[in-house]
Amino acid sequence: MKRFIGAELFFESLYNLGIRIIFGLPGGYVLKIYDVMPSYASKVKHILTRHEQAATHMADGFSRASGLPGIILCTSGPAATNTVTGISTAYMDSVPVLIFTGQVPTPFLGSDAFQEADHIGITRSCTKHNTLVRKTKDLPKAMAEALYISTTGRKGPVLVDMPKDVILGESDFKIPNKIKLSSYDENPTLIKRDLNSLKARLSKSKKPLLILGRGSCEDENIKNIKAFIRRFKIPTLTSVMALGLVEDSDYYFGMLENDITSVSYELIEQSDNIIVVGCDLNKIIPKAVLKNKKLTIVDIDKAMMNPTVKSNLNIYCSSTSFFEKTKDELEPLEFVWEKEYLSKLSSKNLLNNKKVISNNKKAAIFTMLSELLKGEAVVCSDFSYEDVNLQKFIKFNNYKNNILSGGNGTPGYGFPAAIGAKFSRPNSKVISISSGNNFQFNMQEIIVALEQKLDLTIIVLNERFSDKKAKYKGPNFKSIGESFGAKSFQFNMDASLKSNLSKSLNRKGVVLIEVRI
Amino acid sequence: MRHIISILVDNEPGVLARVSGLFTARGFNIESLCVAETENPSYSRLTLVTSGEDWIIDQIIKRFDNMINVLKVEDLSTSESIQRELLIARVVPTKSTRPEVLRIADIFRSKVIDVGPKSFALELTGTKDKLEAFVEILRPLGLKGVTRTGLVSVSREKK
Repeated sequence: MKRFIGAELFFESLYNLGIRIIFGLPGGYVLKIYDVMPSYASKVKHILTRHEQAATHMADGFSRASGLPGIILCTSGPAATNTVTGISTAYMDSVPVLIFTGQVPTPFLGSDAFQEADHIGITRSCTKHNTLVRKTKDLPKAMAEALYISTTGRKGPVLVDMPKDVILGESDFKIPNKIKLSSYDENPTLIKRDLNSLKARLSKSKKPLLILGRGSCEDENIKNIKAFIRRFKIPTLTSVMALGLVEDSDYYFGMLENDITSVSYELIEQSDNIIVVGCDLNKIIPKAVLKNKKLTIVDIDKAMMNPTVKSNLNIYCSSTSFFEKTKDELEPLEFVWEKEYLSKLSSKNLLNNKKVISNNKKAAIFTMLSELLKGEAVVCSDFSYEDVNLQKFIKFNNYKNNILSGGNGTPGYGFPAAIGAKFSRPNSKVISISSGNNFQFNMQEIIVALEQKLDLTIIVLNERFSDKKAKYKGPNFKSIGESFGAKSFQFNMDASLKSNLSKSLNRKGVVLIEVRI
Repeated sequence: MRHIISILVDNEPGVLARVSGLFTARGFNIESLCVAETENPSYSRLTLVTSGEDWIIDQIIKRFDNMINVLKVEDLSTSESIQRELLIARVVPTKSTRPEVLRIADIFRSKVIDVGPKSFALELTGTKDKLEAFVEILRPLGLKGVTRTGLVSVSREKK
């Protein structure tokens, strides 16, 4: 049998597992992997980034835009600690990301060696699972398991730590075809008992409401969800993470927002049975609002359920199984949501939005972009807490077009995520939109986009420009873009903005647009 | 409320840190912890005693369930269970209290496992209350140190 060194096993396993692209940065303990890389260049493409955090965001964006897992390779110590922000972002939003880190040779583990850090300890609380490979022969199995864990069940980041002697050691290449982990249920199905209690609950409720979160964002769900909504005529909200999932449905009432004047609050207040599928309500809405509400929580993660709240019905199953089974088994019921009331709500929604657009420059720009992009483009953004509601002003035809750091609210996420997204969706228009402050977190990656000859539009909203009280005006983003070699433009908030944006959105190559607001 | 949680885990490095990490993250104290191999050497059983609000303990148990290395979690305080703990006490009595110590040991059915010219080592198994009573009685008789294993527990046979 042919013998391989660990570094070769790494690429053999990646290729075998269907991985064709990785993001990373070389360094001391993974140099051997970079040494053998040229002979695998046709099998696995490597994208050289300028910062490990950006590499992790790229892999994250890659995954969100396509549903495929994103892969990062980096060295130990500072490189691994740099990835933590990215890992945490992926963990909060359940994104399948695999992180491969180099590590000091096993005999030196725990000796405070050069560039040593306890990656397993550091990432324990922000990964779904992490593992240290101790022998070269275990590497392919560990990688296959990591991929399996990362992409099944409630998805999430998995870190594999590879000491240098494991990378240098020799072994045969043996990779398991099927992974079986004891007590791990990758796809819990909707059981009869839960279905019956759901039926009983629905038969008593007059005004049910459906709330969809990222947990219900699966390709095979889309058809079933739309059928579910149509059949039951049930008003539907989505969380910010699931925008674009059921956008064209008649009973869709927009985004679930934490705003007392919003339509979503009114619906929640009126509803007597809220079905929440794959959404962590507590992250969005204060507990007090939900206090006396009857909730039906459908989730693949038991930790999302609280049995001490007696009014809740907790259903532990995957969203795919839920929508698949309820499609045939639930009888259409008579609900009493009045037609006029619902249409009144829709117009209230529009009115609310109009009010925000006229007061908020960012919202106005988002609306403009939405009109220009027509829902087809992948939009990657990062916003602070108070701006997250702005995401609703962009229309998405597909949930995979909506890319933002939700749970973690990572500043500087959008731009690297857009680079990653472009790699998985080369034929789609990809834009990143960030505030001036957030863009500065990862702006060094412009060079990566240029090196890789991507068609990417970067929009930077320079807020400080109009802020007369601001002590520091912030940089001139146009000249930053130019110094990297990107086509750069600077626009002001005026009547010609829309036509200016429209022209520059159609340009090829890396385009940086600074909008002074 | 006090909770006794029994967890079946993979017998691997790092698993204990993973389990105890969940308690650290929520600022909970672990009152006692006992880990050892089971009948199958690839698994360990971990018995853990903690107290806290019910819903938080419930969240912790569910997060245990999500861990890849955890095979089974049980909250034994919600069902009927038997608990035992082992204690070794080192007693240095005076000449006059020597027979008294041995008499107490006899009453508690404790075994003398080490004896020297100056001191005894006594072993006792039992519930938490019994061990605490034993310690209190020995205290004035020259108790020098106590080592306890922490609680182990199994649920009773279901009727």
